[in-house]
Amino acid sequence: MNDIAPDILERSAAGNLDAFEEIYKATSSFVYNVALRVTRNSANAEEVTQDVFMKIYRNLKSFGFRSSFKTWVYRITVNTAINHYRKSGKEERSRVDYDNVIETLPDNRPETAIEQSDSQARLNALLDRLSPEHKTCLILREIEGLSYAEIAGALNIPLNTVRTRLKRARQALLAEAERRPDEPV
Amino acid sequence: MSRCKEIQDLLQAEYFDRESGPKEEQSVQEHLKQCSACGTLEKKLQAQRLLFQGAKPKPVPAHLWGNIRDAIIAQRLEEETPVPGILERLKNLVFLRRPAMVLAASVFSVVLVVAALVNANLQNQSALRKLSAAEGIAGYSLSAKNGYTIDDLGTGIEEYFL
Ligand SMILES: [Zn+2]
Repeated sequence: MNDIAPDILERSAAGNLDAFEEIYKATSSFVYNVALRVTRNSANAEEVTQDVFMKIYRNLKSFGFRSSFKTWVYRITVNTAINHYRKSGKEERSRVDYDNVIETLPDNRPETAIEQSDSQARLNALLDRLSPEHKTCLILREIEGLSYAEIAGALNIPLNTVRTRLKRARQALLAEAERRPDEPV
Repeated sequence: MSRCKEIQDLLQAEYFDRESGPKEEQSVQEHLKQCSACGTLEKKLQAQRLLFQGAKPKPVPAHLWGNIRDAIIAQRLEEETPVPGILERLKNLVFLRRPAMVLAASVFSVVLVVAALVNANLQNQSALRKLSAAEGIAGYSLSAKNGYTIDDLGTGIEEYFL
């Protein structure tokens, strides 16, 4: 996620929609993709994204720039996505769309495409076995490339908890991968 | 904690995430050169990381910004509709014509009208008595005077207030 200039934040806090669109452009890919990974469904991810930006818009005035804007966005995103995931029923959670897999395939390389699509489906299935907290930690680290300090800020947990969660999540994924190596997902 | 356990602890977290200091990093690297068990774990972790690296970000749907913008504008309009303040509400409480007040006012006006009618009627009756006496003398028809009695109601009410 790119940094956002202070004057854009100030103008947005004053209600300027064009400035707010700049914030949206800089942060929406992070928000949407984390939401998509956590909720596993594009309709839910859209709902979470809209919710996150409404929260940002409403609270920008009271944000007060005491903490980093990026960390604040990370936190709102993670909380909103996890809450949405928890509220959605078990049935809905299993209704997964694979748009995200298909759309990210490289062009003109069908055999690699199939391999990639398989491995992505496998990754999604493995991630689904983790608790939302462990899953989110791993997504922030491996897919979004956040540092331990940034993850700690996003999840509002101590640094040591970040390392413990990442370690446990990786162990769980390795155990899952070994337990069911040939099972299709 | 055994040496391997210590190394594996770092392997699955700080070392793997490049969050460890140079000293820790070096000790892990040296251990990996001579321990196949820890080396195997590192390879498995690398394979796991490859899975994540294949996960490319999905583009945000183009219509989403429009939806958010609309929602913000709708919310603004809602906020701009004035909500009565506490003074306004107090004023309404005292001065608003609530049902009980309206009923009391209506009953009062009915009383006024009835009183006026009775008053007018009494006046007319005395007038009629005088007229009858006069008619008796002049021979006028009484029925022609009925319209006058009704028209006189207005005067009766005015008189009541005076
Ligand atoms: Zn070892």
